[in-house]
Amino acid sequence: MRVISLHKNYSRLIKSVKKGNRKAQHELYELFAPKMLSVCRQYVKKLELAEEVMLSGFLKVFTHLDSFKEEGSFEGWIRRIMVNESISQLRRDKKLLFNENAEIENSADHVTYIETTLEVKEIQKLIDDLPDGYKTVFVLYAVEGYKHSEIAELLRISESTSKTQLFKARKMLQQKVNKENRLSYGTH
Amino acid sequence: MAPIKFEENIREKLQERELQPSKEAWKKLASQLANEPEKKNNKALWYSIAASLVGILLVVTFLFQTEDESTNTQLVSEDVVLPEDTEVLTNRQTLETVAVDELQEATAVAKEVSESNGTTNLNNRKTNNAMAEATNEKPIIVQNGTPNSEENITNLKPGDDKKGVIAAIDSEKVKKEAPPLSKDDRFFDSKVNEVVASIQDIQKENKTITVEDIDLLLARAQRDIATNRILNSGNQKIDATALLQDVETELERSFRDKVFDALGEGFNKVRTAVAERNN
Repeated sequence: MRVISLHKNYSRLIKSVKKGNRKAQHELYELFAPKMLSVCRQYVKKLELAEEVMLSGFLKVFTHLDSFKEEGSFEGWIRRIMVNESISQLRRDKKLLFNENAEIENSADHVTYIETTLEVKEIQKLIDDLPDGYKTVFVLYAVEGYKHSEIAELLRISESTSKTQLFKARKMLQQKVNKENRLSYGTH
Repeated sequence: MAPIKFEENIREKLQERELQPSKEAWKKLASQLANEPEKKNNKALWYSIAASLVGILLVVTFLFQTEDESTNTQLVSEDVVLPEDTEVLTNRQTLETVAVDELQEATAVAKEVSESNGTTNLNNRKTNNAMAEATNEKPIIVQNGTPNSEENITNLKPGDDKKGVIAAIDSEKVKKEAPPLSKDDRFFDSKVNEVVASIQDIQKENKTITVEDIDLLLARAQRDIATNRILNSGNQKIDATALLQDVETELERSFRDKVFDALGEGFNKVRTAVAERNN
């Protein structure tokens, strides 16, 4: 019986990076950069800016490697750094505004999406069209799997605000998705 | 459940997605990484500089403390080594206080006389008489520094004027075969002579001597004596204990002044009440 470790073991690579081995650093970068750029792109609309955020995230990874306790997932640790950097960027650009007063056309309490499978580009387009506050909470909750308490701490908002923002994000997505679907049906 | 499926779809698609960074991205990162170790070394360097500065400060503080202790021991040893001078000093201090007290009493009497006359200025004779009366009340005890000397007490004859009184004090000082005087004694003597000389000068010029003039001269002389005691002109060091004593005496004196003032006022009130009653 082969024991499969839940997380890949990067300890050899990490040791080498800690010693300052430039080749190891490059190797680590090549391994994780594409996924991490995708993470940053979820929050930041412009790709060039998302890349800068990713690079500053990697700088933090290399300089704070000693604080990684080789117990959990290394990829998860890097991912958290990327999320923090992205949110810092949004904060610097003063885009983290949580508008409580935005009106929603459909005031129904429950969210019902039409059953559809979207391509990733369409998904990204939908998310980009959301206001930054709704988008951030939605991505953190639905994509990254953060709890409302964690979101509240990260974004410096209350848990109830986090829940409201999520609800509004979902409503907006639903309206857009339904609208897109009606349009696509209409062409047939 | 549509909402869950829809969102799960979003999650899966986004988590799987990979976006290729630009070719320049790694170069940028590499140059930033190259700068990082220098900053770290600088940090360590600054910390070591700060630590060494703190260490130097501690050493200097410690050295100063040991220096102060050695100075204090020096002062103590000086006191121990010279018992004769101490005796002389205490005797001189007694003389000083006596002389000062005499002058103060004389001024107090002079004040009374001036009040009774209703004038603040006195002419010479009245001052002299008042002072002579004051001195007549107590014999001036002039002691020689060495216990072996027999010349101990000198009584001044009544009727001597102030000049005579002061001259007598002067001559007594001159007559004594004084043991080797310490610096403090010499300074004290010079100060007393100064006060006497200035009073004599005023008399010579036939100016009226006011009570304030005498107070002023007295205060000045006392101040100078006290300052000399504190500041040892030999090695330009300040005797901390003497300074403290001086401050304490000042504080006490101010309280003492208040008490005297209160007493004076009370005395005046009683006197006027008695005078009115007699009338």
